[in-house]
Amino acid sequence: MQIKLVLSNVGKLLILIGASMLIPLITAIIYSENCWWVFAVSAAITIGLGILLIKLFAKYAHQKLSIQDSYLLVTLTWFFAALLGMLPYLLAGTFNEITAAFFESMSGITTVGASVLDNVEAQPHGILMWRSTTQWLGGMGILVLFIAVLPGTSALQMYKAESMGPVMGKLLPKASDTARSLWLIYLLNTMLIFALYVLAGMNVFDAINHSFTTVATGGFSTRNASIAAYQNAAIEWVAILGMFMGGINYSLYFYVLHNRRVDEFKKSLEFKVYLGVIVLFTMIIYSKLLIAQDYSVFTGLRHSIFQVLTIITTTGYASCDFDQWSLLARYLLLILMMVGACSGSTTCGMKIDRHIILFQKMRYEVEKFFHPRMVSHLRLKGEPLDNTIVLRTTTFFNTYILIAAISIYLLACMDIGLMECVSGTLSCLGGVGPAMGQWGPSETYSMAPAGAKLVLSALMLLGRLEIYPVLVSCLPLLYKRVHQEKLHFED
Amino acid sequence: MRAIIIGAGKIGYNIAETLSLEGHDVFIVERDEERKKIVDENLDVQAILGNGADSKLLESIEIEKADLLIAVTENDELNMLSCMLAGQYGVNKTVARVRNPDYDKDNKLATNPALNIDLMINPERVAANEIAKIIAIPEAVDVNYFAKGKIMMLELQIEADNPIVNKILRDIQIMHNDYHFLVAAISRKEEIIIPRGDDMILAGDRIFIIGRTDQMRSIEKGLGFTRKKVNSIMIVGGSRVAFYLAQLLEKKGLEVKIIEKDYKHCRVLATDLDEAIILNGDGSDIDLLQDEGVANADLFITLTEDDKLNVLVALMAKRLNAKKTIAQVRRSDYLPLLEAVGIDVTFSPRLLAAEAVLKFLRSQDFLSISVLEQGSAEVYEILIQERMKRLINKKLRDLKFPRGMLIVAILRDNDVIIPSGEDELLVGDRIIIFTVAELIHRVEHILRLEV
Repeated sequence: MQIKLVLSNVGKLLILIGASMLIPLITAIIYSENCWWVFAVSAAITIGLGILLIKLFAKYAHQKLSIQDSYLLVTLTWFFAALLGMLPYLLAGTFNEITAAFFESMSGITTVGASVLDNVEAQPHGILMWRSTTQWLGGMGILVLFIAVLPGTSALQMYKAESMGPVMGKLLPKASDTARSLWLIYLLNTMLIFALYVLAGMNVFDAINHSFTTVATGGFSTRNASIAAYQNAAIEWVAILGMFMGGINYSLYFYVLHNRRVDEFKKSLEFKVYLGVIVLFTMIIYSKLLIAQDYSVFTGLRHSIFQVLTIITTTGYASCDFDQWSLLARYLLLILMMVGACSGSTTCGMKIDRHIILFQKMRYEVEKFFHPRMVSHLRLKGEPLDNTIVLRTTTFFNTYILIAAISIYLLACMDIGLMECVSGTLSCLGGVGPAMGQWGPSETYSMAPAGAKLVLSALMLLGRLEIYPVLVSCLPLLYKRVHQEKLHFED
Repeated sequence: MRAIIIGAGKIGYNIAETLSLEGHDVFIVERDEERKKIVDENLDVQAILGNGADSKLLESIEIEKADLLIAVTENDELNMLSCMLAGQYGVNKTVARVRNPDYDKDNKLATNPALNIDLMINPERVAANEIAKIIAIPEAVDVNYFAKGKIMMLELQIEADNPIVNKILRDIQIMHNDYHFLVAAISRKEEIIIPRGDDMILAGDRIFIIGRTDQMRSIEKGLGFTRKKVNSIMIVGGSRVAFYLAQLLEKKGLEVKIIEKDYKHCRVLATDLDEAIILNGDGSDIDLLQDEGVANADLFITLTEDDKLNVLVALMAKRLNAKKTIAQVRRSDYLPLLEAVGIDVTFSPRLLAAEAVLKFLRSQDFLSISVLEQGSAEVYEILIQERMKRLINKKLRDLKFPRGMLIVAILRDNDVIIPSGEDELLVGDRIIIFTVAELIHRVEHILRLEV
C-alpha cells in the first residue's frame, strides 16, 4: 500500500467535504442564526487539513492507485468525513460528549440514521441542514461524487472500491461518466421527492431536509417524531415512494432515462425479488396489525408498507412507533434488517443480489449431493458467476454474522439488554437506524454508554462500505507477515 | 432449372444428388480438391474448384442464368456473402446454411434484404426440432403433421406381443371402425410396402398410420399402443443440437440432464440453460450413467461429435434399461443398419438439413413435404386447384394411381376424410399423398400435366 499517495488523495476529498459545509453555512446565514461561524470554522479546518495533505504529499499525487490503495482510500475518507463532520456539532455544543458527536456524524455520513439527538426540534436550522447534508453526500457516495467532479487516472479504482453490491456495475465506458450520470439521476430524484413533499404540505425547509434524507435512504428527520410528526397521509405516501425508489438499482433508472428501456425492470430478477419481499412482508404484517392493533384498513396498510420500506431500504424513518407492535411484526422487521434492498442503490445492508447468489449456491450444493458431477449454473443478471464472486459473497455473509456476533458480545459486556444488543447491532450494521426497545423509533441512542456508541459507529462504517474495504485496510496492520510483505512505507 | 450449390459437404452433396436425379443442371463449387473429386466421380453435375463468394468464378459458370443458389459450406459468413452476391446477379432463390445462433434467430440479419437470403437453415436446430417432435409422442419412431397440424402420421414399431400382429389390415380396420385411420405404409426389411386390405402385419414391421390428430391417442390405443409420458431425458454430448433440444424441452417442463466432457463447455451450457442439470463427465462412463439414473431415463439421446461413441453409448444405455434411445449418426449410410441393431431412432443432422432444403425448394408446388425412412418414401400435401382438371370430380378408383402412390387423407372445409375408392376430389381440398421414392417424379408429373 502506498500510504502517502492515499493520503494525498484523502486531502482532495477533504476539500470536497469542507466545501459541502457551505450548505449549512448558507442556511444559517439565511435564517440569521448565530451559529454560522461554526460551519465557517469547520470548513476552514477541513479544507486546511486537505490542502496540508495535498501539499505534503504533492509528489505522489500523479501516481495511479492500486485496488488495495483505493480500499484504504475509501476507508480513510469515510473515517475522516465522520471525524471532521462532527466539528460543527462540537463547536455548536450540540452534544456534551465527543463520542455522541462522532456517533451522530458517522450515522449521518453512512446514511444509517441512528440518532443521539434527543430534541431535534430545538436545534438551529444550520445544524439540521448539516445532518441532512451528510446523509445526502453519503447516499450516492463521496468518492463517486469526487470522480464525477474531478475525473482522474484512478477513477475506475475509486469507483470499484465504493460500488455497492456483489459485482461492480458500470453504465458507461468511463467510470467518471458513470459517476456523473448516477449523481445526475440522484439529483433528479431529490428534486422530484422535494416537489412532492411540498405538494403534500411540508414546509420548504423540512421538504429540503427530508428529500435529502429520503433519496439517500438515510432517515434523519427535522422532527422528534420523524415523519409521524406530520400526521399527514400524503407525506407518508411520498416518503414511501421516495424510499422505494431509493432502494432500486440506479442502473435501472439509467436504462429508462438514457436508453428508454423500461423492460429492464421486468428483466431484473433483483427488482422482482425486492418487490416480492416488500409485498410478502407487508401482507403478513398488515394482517397481523389488523388483528392485533386497532388501525383502520387504510391506515394499517400505510403503516405496514411504510415500516417495511423504512427497514428494507435501510432508511430509518418512522410513521408510528413500531416498537409497540406485536412480537411477530417486530421479529419480521428484525429479519428485514438483514435483507437490504437492491445492489447499486443508495441503501446499505446485505443487498438482495447477495441473497440471490447465496440462495443459488445453497440450491447448487444440495443438488450436488444427488449429482456429484453437476456443473455450477449460478448466474447473476444473465451472466455466469465467477467462483471468486460466489466465495466472496459467502465469506461476506460469514463475516457479516461474525461481526454482528462480536458486536453483540461487546454490547453485552456493557450491560445492555438483549433486545437492544441484537436489534441495535443488526440495525447499525445494516444501516437502518432505529432499533427496538430503548433504542426504538420513538427513542434515541443517547442513553447508550460511550463505548457502545463507538462499537455501533464502527458497525456503521463496516456496513456502509460493505466490510471488505475496511478489512483490507485494517487487517494488514494486525498481521505482521502481511504487513511486511505488502506495506511499502518507504518511498 | 439451373442450380448452384456452394460447398460439397454432406448437405450440399445430398441436395446436388437429388436435384440432379430430378433432371436439373447443377453446378457445385467446392474449395477442397478431395471433395470435388468425390463429386466428380459420383454425381452427374459440374464441380468447380474455388471459393463460392468469388464473383469471377461465379460469372464463369453464368450465375446470372441460375434460378437457385444454395450456400451450405461450414462457414456461415461465406454462405451469407454468396447469397448476397447471388442477389446482385438476380438469382431468384437463395438458401444459406447459418449455424451460429447469434445470426439466425430474432436477428435483423436474417431478414435484411441486402443479404438476399430466402431460407436460412440451421442443421442443428432442425435436428433438435425433429427430436422434440418425436419426444412428444415417445412410442412413435417418427411423427409428421399435415394440414396445419390437423392430420398426423405416426411411424410405429410393431413388437411381437402386439395384438394386431398376424392380422390382415381389412380386419383391423373393421375391428376399430369408430375412428377413421389408415395404414398408409408398412416398412418391412428396409422396404416400403403400400399395403392393400389383405396384407398382413408381421412382428418387426414398422407401420405408418395416418389419422386425425385429435383422435390419434384413441387410435393408438385401439392398435395396442399406450402413450407414455416422457419425464426425464438424458443427453450425452453438449453439442449445439443438445443445447437447442434442451431449450425446447425446458420450455415443456421436462427434466433434462446433459453429460459433457469439456468443463468449459459445461459452464457455457449451464449459463445459457435455465433448469437443465449439466454434468461434467464422460458419457461412456457406465458408473456415471448408472449414478445419474440411466435406468429411469425415459429417453436417452447421444449427441456427441463422434458417431461411434454415440452408437456405443446408446447401445449401452439400452442394456442399462433406458426406455428409448436416440443416436446422432453423421454417416447416413449406417442409419438403417443401426435401427436394426436396437437403437430406437437414429438421425443425421445434415441429412435432415438437406431434406429441409429440398422441402423448401418444392414448396411452390406443394404445401408440405415429409421425407420418410431416409428418403425411401415421401409424403406430399397438395392443394387441389381448378387447373388440375384430370383430378377433379373423379372417383379415386378411376384416377388409376400406380401402386406405391396413395391419397391417404383429404382435408375438406376443416373436415378430415380418410378416403376410399369411392371418394372424389373437389377444388379447394388439401390432399395428402404418400409415395415411395421411385414414384416421386410421377407425382410431379401428374400435377404438371394438369396445367
